Amino acid sequence: MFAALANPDRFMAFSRWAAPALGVIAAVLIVAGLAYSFSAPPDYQQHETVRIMFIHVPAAWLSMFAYACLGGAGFLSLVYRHALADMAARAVAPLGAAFTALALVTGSLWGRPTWGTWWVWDARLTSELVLLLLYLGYLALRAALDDEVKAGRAAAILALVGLINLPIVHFSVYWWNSLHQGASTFGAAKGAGLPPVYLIPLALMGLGYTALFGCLWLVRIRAEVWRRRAQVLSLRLAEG
Amino acid sequence: MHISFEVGRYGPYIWPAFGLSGLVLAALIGHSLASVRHWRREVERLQSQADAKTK
Repeated sequence: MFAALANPDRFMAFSRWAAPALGVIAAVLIVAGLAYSFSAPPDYQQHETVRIMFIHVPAAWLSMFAYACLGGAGFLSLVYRHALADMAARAVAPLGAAFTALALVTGSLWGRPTWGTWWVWDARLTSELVLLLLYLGYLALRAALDDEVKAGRAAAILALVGLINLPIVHFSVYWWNSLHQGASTFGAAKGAGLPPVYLIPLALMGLGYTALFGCLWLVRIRAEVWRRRAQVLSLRLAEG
Repeated sequence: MHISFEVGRYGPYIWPAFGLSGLVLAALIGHSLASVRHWRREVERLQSQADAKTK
C-alpha cells in the first residue's frame, strides 16, 4: 500500500476521498465523545476535573504518534529518497507540535487542581516538553535552509535522532518517581484501569482525534504536493 | 444520557482546557484547508499561463 501511495498521482486520487471520509468520521466521534464526556459522573478524587482527561490524553497520544510518523517519514525520505515521504514529514510536524502544546497546556490545567501545581520538572512533563522542542527544532531547521533537499535531509536526521525521546516519554512514569499517573488504559496494572463510564468517552475522543489527525495530515500532504507542482510550473515559466 | 455542563468551582480549569483545544483544532483545520486551496489555485493559475504561452 505504501509503495502504491508513494506515487503522488495515486496519493492524490486516494486522499481526495480518504481525507473527507476521515473528517466526517472524526466529527461524529468527537461530538459523541463530548456528549459522553459531559454525561460522565465526577470522579471521587478528581471531581469534575476528570473531564480534562478526555482532551488531554488524546492530545498526548497524538503528540507521540505524530512524532513516530515524522520519524518514519524521515527515514523513508532519507533512505529511499521518496519525495512524498519528505512531503509527509514536512506536513506532519506542525500537527505534532500543536498536539504536543495542547497536551502540555491541558495537562497543566489539569495538574493545578489535582496536584496543586501548574508545572513540575517531572520526568513525564519534561520529556514531553523536550518533544515539543524537537518539533520546533525540526520546523526551524526546515525553515532555515533555502535548499529544500538539504533542509529535508538535515531535518530527517534530527527527526530520527529525536525518536529516542519517545520511549523516554512513554516509560518515564515507570523509570523515575513521577507525580504523573501510570497507564490507565493499555498496559494498566490490575485494578488501575479506567471504568467503562470513563473509558467510553476517552476511546471516542481518542479515535476522533486520531481520525482528525489523519484527515489533516492527508490535507496538508495534498497542499505540499500542489505547492511543489506550483514551484515546478514557476520554474518552467521563468525558463520560457 | 444526562449531559451537564455544571462543573462547579473547577470551571477556571475545565473551560480554558476545552476552549483552547477547540481553538487549536479549529485553527489547524482552517489553516490546512486554506493552504490546500491556495496552492491548488496557484497551480491552476500557473498552468493557464503556461498553456497560454504554448498557444
